[in-house]
Amino acid sequence: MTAGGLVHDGGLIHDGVRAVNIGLAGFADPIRAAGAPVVALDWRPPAAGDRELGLLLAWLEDDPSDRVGGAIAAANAQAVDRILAAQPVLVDVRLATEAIDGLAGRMLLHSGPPIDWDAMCGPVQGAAIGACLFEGWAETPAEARKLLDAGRITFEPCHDHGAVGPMAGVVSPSMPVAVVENGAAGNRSFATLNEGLGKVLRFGAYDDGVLERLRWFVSTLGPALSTVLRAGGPIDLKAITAQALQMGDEGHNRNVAATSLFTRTIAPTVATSLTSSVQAEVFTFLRANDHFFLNLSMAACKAGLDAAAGIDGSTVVTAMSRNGVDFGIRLSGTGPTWFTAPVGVPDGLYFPGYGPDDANPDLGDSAITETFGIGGFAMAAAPAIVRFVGGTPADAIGFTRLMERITLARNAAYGLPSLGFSGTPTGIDARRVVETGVAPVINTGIAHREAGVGQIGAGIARAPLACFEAAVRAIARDFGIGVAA
Amino acid sequence: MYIDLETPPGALVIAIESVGGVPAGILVRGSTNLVALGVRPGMSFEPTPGGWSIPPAGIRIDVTGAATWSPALPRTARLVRGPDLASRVAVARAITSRSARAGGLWPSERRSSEEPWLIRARALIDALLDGLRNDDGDRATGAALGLVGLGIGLTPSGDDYLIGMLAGLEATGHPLHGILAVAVAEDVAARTTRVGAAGLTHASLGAYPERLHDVLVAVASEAATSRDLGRAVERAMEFGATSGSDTLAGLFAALDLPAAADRSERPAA
Amino acid sequence: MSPVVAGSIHRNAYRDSVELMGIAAQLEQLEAVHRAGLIMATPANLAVLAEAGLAEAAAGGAGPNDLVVAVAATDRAAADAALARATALLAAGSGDPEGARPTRPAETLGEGLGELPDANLALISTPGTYASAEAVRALKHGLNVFLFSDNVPVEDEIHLKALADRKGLLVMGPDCGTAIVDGVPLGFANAVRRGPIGLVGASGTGIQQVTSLIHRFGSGISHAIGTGGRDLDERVGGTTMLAAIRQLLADPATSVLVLISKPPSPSVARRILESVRSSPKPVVVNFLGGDPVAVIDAGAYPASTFEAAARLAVRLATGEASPADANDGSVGAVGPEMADLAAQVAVRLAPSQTAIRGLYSGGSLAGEAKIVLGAILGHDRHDQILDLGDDEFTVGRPHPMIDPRLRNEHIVAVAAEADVAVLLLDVVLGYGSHPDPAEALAPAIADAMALAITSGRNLLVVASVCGTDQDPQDVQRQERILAQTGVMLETSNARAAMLAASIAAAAAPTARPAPLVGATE
Repeated sequence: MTAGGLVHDGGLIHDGVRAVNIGLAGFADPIRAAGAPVVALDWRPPAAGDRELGLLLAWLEDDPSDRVGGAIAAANAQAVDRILAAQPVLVDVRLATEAIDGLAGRMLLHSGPPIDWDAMCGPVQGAAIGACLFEGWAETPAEARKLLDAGRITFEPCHDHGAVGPMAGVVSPSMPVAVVENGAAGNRSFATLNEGLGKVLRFGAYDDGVLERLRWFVSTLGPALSTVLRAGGPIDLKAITAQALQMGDEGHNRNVAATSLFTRTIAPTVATSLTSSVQAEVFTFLRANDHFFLNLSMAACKAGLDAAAGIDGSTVVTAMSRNGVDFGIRLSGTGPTWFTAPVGVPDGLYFPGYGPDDANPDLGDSAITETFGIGGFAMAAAPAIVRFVGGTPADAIGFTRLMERITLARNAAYGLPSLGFSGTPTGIDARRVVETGVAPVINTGIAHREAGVGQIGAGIARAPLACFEAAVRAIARDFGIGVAA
Repeated sequence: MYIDLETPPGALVIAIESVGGVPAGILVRGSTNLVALGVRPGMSFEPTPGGWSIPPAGIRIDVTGAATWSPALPRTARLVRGPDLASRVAVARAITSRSARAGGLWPSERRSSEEPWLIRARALIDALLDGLRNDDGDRATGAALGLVGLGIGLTPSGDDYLIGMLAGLEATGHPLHGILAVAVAEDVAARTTRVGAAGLTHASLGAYPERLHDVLVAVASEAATSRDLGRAVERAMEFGATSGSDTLAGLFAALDLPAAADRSERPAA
Repeated sequence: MSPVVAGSIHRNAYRDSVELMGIAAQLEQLEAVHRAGLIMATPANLAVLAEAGLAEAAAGGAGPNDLVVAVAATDRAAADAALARATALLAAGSGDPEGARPTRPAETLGEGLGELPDANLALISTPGTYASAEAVRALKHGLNVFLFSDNVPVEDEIHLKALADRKGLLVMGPDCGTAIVDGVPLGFANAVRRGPIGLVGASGTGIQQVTSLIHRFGSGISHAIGTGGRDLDERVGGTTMLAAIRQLLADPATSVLVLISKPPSPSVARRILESVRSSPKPVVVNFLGGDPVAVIDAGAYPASTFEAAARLAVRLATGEASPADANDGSVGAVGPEMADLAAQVAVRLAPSQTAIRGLYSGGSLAGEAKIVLGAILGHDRHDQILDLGDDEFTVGRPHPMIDPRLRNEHIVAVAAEADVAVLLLDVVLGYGSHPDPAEALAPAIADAMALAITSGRNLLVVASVCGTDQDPQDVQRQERILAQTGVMLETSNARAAMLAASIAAAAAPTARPAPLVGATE
């Protein structure tokens, strides 16, 4: 957004005064009285009063006439274009080891930035144990623990392999994963199949029921979905998301509309290409799992954002994720680097019998939905969410409006009725986050700190500003900007 | 959302899903606000391979693979007069009354003062119905012509009324249907708005909006419950502010006309 | 009286009936409107309008796709008002009312530019710590900057002005208190007539004094560009003054330039004078206390006080290029009337009273007073001129131009000092200043005078009011209140200082003789 751009000779005195008042309110009045247009800012120190960081931000502003400002503006425009142009489509369901490059041997993927086994929180460790049992690397939980303690299992973030996982997000080689392709850019992303609520692997449970379900995914659900996709063709996830956002979903914590639309979409093909007993199992499973679409939603967002990664100079956020200990973000312009800060417990309502002392710190790759502009950013679509923090539907709209301050575009494909079909706020700019102090808002479930207990509540988490501050400093360093350039 | 664009040979309608099918129309998926996408009245509209585009708004519409739909009344909309039909029409009227907005042709207790155009419209409607009851073609067509372009709204209320009336007359096989259809379409572009003219031209050719089909099918079905009627009526009312109820006013008036056997025997004037 | 019928025709106005009826209802609630209707101009509807006596509303060729707004009102004015209202309501309704942007005040510059995309000036008065970042941001967005904030490091100023220079923009400041651009007052500024004189100044109250006097002398200013107090420092190099000079030289509305500052560093002074050497427009230069010879060498006109600069500029603007006359407020040019007055009042002083105490709200005015005193009385004295707007006094307190309490305390304290003969004050009016400074000062002055009398002394108070008859404060009332309090008013700060000096000189004639230059006219 540039203004002025005045010729040397003519200059300010030629054009008349059109002013922005920054600071003492009284200075605006004489200007107004003289009949000149003036906007008075409700100004507060940027970057929470950190002078040096505030100066860095100023030197990183968009500026077509400047090496730095021009490069950043162009890079961000490109990143946003790619995000908005994303066409995520579900093309297949395959075993993880076949679909995901580099996932082989005794390797497990997990959610969030890199973390070692001994540092992992309860639910993630539980999920790892469950995965070892599922893979047959151990016969009992105790054996599994020995393996893990001995360092015999390799851990890598899902994100590094084009994958995303909710909560613990553990992916093992034999798990079926949804394969989502971004039609616009050609890249692919992956996510396991959502298990439902209750005692599930992603909350760290690993009892017989969990393992049985995982095996059923391998034997039945995975192949069934694969057959359906081959017979009926790929499924347009963007279209389902767009509709669901107008039906009370926000794509992260409320997924029932999208899951229903998905089920409706595959129903005719299911009816004609699967045996009736498998049909019954598939439909029964989908009927009981309101959140089935979540994993597909996450993979769709990941596919869109990955296409915008690696653009030199871009301050657009391409990933936000948590591993239960740290919150990490990535910027397009700084590639695979994670900027991390310790993560806290979400703010929310707890199910009866549970409280904040039971809660696990924020966990999961599902913040990829907010990174793409849905989830908490689309809270205006799902006002029911704010009940979890004692708010009103107007607050839900308020959150989406607030996120508009830190994003570069509106995604017209995802229009929200309560905002006059205005598109969801998309393209988080790390500079704006630091400048305004407005942290991205994430709608999330709250897990019990102990493995295997499950979800104990839901609420709202705010990404730590420290991650964005570090990221901005890194970009500034890349451009060779110190305090005074 | 109903956008009327200029295109040879005439207007083409782009409607969003909630509006339902329309004659010479493209139904677009979802409920996108076309205005929010930058579409404005008067923008140019061009055919492309596979569809249409609105270049000034940067919008492309791909119709390959789109389902097609006929605006002609289906068989199931053909009505047989009788006491059952009358009672279903009465139920449909009652439902319409509940949600009709003031300001159109639908009678409303809420109205305090009568607008001049409304007074004139009522007189014309009385004459029209009188002509239809008595097979008096001249009286009916004269009154109908007076209703073209009369009233407020994007589609003048008179036009909506006539569209509903023509659908009802066609569905019941009224002998004066043909004459009336020809009369209202004559020189219609000079007599009413573009949108009204398009609607009347299509109606005269037997092409009606899907929502009218739905109401006729519901009313025609002997098994229709008030829930079915209600859903069809409410869908028809979604359109415009008073357009929906104005159209239904004409439709129900046509359905309430006495059957041929009950009409007084009179030689054609 | 038969009602007036009027109408307006709107093309491509697609509205549903409920909205149109709503607008009609609103129009009918306006005073003197009898009836109103909004309807598409189909033949059927035009017939209805005719029947209702509103046919003229559609006169002017409305077709079936045009919306007609028809009103019948008591008179033409009411009808036109109703039509205007209808137009506004139709325009407002063309957006989406639900989910329309809520009015949240803009907090950042980016958001502010969303509201005023073609803004070209940022006024920055944030605490100095944050001012540089805001200025950088503004420049990057192509805005000129008026930087009122002080406590901005000189390194930041250098970088800001380099960036501004690259982009062809002006940075007025830091520590710039005053500017007037295109008649728009920025910061603390007086309301002055437009005219052909353009100023560039590194002194806020200096600009205020010169512009006010130019107005009083019957002329006016095109623009007054502030450069900030440190622009002419060696390290900064006068970037802003040079850029402002360029703009004024190219401005067709400016025919005379005036440059004001305390003495710049020698190299900067040279550069500035070079830039006006071959100027086709006359340039008056008041580098306070500076060397007039260099100015003359550059083909410019030196002035030693703000009043002299103002007078000279006005005369140059009206086409008289002439040397200053003796009574024009130049330093040292005390006329016979002032000398007589000084002698008269000096006899009231007690023998101990020999010194001048200045309590100033304007830094440049204080500076000028020091120069004048030094020129007339020499420097071997115990006078004290305080700039109460200086940092040491304003930490944690509002500026004395806004809040008189600090100065009032000092005034009363002065009364207890036996050696003080003359209290010298400035009273600055204009935007941003106290709404009634004279009223605020008068009690303290009266108290001080009374206090002195009880100690057997006579405290003389000399002041000038810097302001115009168009300023928010009533300048005549200000002068009246001060005069009634016993203050001796002069028409400029230079004259006030000269009077104070004359009084001091008359009170101690045996002191070292000072050049009391007076022409016998």
